[in-house]
Amino acid sequence: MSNTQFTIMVSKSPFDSRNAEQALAFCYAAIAQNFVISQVFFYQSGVHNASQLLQPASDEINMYTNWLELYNAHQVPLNVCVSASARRGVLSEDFIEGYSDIVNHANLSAPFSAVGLSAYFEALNNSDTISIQL
Amino acid sequence: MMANSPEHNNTEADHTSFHLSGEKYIAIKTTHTPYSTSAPIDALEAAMAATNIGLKVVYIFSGLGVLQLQVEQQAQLIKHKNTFKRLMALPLFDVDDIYIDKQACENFAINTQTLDFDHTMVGIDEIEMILNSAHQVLVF
Repeated sequence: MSNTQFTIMVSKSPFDSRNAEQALAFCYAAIAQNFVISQVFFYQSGVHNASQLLQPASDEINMYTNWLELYNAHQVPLNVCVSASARRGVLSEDFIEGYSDIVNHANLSAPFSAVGLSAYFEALNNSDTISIQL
Repeated sequence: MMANSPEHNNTEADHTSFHLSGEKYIAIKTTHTPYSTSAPIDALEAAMAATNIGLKVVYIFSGLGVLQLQVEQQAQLIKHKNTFKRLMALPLFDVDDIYIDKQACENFAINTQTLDFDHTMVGIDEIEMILNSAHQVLVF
């Protein structure tokens, strides 16, 4: 069996692009072929995928819940660039501690993890890992 | 003091002998104008994060991305940080292999002779070679 792993970078927000939907579809297809998704990394505007505050209409795709379903089914790590998400107001409980006077609600929580960019590049260091940027 | 002379900094690619050959590296291609999106800074931060954990990065300015190399940017007029000045930090973060799209520079009249970092002017074919040889490619 191949040791190939995929790490996926999502760089567009859920409603400005179909990019996140394509990434999610790729994850399911790869897992169905017994490949490992070592992580999905959300960068640039892709961090909006991780916001609990997304409220699409009930008959529209909700990428936040779709990513949760992927995690619940396959435990794929969902990593969010901490600096890109802070710039865009996608904040974890840890992050808002220092800003409690102006922010009282985190919108980034498990299974999404706020991590540094180095987490993404550490995965690329593995020669069996293929990166796909969407 | 050849190190800072324009002749030393600005070299032409040798089609037959890219010194990168055989070396594992990540290619980061930057293709956006300096202030239209956050992409140029996202690319810069990605490069710094990669070299920070010991990965070799090859940085490519391509297409509209060469406009980031316009020296006299007046970013203060739009209350932004100066992208060109931030790019000058690339060698400080061990991003030493910098390639610039020669045709795009000609199209946009970008003068790379005065850049403070070593770089190589390349054509489309060389850029393709660099990307094809990369371990991973990121485009911003």
